[in-house]
Amino acid sequence: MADRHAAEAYDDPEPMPVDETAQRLLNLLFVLNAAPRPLATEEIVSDSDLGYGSGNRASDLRKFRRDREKLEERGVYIAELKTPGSSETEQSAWALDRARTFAAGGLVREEDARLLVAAIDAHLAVPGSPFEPPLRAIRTKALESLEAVEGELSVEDEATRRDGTARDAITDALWTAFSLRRTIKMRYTDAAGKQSERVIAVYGIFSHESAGYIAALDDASGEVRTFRIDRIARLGALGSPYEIPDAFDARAYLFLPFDLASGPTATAVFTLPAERTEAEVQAITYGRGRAQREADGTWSWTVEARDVNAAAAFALSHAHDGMRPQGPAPLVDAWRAHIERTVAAHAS
Amino acid sequence: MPRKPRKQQRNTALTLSDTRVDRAIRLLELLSSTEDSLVAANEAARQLACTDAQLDEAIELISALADRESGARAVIFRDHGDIVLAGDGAHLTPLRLSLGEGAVLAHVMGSLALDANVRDRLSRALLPLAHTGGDAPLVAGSTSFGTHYPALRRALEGHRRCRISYRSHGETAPRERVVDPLSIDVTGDGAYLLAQDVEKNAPRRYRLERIGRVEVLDEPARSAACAVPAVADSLRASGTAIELEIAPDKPIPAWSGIEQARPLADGSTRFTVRTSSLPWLYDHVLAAGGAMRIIAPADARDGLVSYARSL
Repeated sequence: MADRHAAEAYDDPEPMPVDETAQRLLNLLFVLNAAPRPLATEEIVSDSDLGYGSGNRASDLRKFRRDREKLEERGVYIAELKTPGSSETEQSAWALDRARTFAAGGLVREEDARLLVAAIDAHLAVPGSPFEPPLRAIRTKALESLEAVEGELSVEDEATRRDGTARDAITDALWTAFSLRRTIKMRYTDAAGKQSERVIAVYGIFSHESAGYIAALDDASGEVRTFRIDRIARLGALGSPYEIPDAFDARAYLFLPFDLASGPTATAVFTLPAERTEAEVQAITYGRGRAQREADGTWSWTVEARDVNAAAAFALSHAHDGMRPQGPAPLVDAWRAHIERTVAAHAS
Repeated sequence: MPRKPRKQQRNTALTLSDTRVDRAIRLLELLSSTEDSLVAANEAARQLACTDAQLDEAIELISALADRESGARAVIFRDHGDIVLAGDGAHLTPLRLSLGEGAVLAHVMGSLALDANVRDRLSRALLPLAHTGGDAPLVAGSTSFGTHYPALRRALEGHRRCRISYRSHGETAPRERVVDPLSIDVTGDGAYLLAQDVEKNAPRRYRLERIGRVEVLDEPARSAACAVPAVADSLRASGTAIELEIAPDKPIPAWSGIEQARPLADGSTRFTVRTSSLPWLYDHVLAAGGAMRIIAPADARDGLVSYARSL
């Protein structure tokens, strides 16, 4: 069984008497949130109550800059304000960037929140979903964004209510790395039981047939690979920042049975009857490849397949939906062979 | 002079201070969102996914917040089983979602086909401003919720009867049913509407992506709320029993309704499955390509062979 230690970042030992860094960050947020006007740099870095004012101005300025970056990682943005026409040498003033920091209350209507909460609860019920930490945060914020919340909305469906303290620290740490766009060190055990250490940049997270996965740029191979979250044995420190390529699409990583093979791919083409709705086609194909309606209304689905036999079996598992293989010839031959073997097995 | 971008960010763990700051901010948001600035301690611990000791730590951090110039201070304390935030000094408007949370919100709104206006309002209110709506999704899921979730939700909340068009497995085209929606159920293999079929006067499960149309009727749902049996229980009660055999090197499928599996001397396994849909079973026996065969009853076996030859 994989070693499921929490990420080192989450190994929370006994509480320390005073956490000066945490206190300073919170005080900075508190003071800027309460201040009726922007605060000058000097007012901040000379304030010993705030946690600065060490007597070394350069050091306090560096500390203030790091604190702004830390708060920005937590979603709190502090804007630097300069008087128009002021020179670079004049000191700045600082204020919370409220539009970037705070949810816009008043925009969310009660019926929106009600629908969103129901939608979130539906997603929370998906078995094995890796989305639980962000879903719970969204649920809470949707409710908090309403001025007046009906009591019933804050009550979670018993079916989706779980013990938050038991939440998987690995999943939490992955979401943190993904949200901050910071690489993270990972110890991973593959399906064959082989362990490896890698540094990954999480590009996407997806749920698939009762399990959670990440698609991540892997420093060991230099490629974007899929990793099953419950095979991650340990996560380490956050590393350097990264950007997700514009073309990345998590849907492309929702794998189908015929993806699970090595070697070259074949371009498979299947048809589905005109009566199938887009939602039905989407559910069968997971949005992979290209599904389009032909002139006669029938659906044509073109997708790359690594295992032609598995692709034929996949089409047969949807034969009553009207799915049929059109090509290439090895795919159609594999379909026919499956049928002939089945008939032969029942003739004896 | 504009500050030069830093060449390289140091490798840093998410420090204990970071998690403490996160927790304290979340507690302030939570307390600020309630009418009385009060929340039960166990509820706060659950929402923040933390222990009671960590909650005390957050309370201690918040209680030390003060602004000398304005005289504002945070007054926070435990009152029996509750945590109370007094005065307005430390009230905090909820923060926007993080980039990760924003990606999940976009996924939820897209997968449930929420109305464009609702999506727009929620996006403007909650998404981080750095989130651009036109980007390809960074999170995804294989569970399909179809295109009628909002209408079904409305019917459920308003206790309204619905007319739906639905194509069950094996039917070539959808047909209409009048139903009283009971709930929406999500399992490992899909999302379902659980509803009382008014004509049949019996509970039924409808896969959401097979529902082609929903009309919320102007009449109340009259079926009393009833427990819809789990799939396995329902199949046990009314499914057709089919005996199957699977080749030695193949695993028994993970279907609902499987019972009475027994190994045979040649290494193959015989098992009984209860199914409500022979077409569904035929498709899966065919997909096994001869590695699975129907043993009994004979008419099911003959039905499979006829169907296979028709393809």
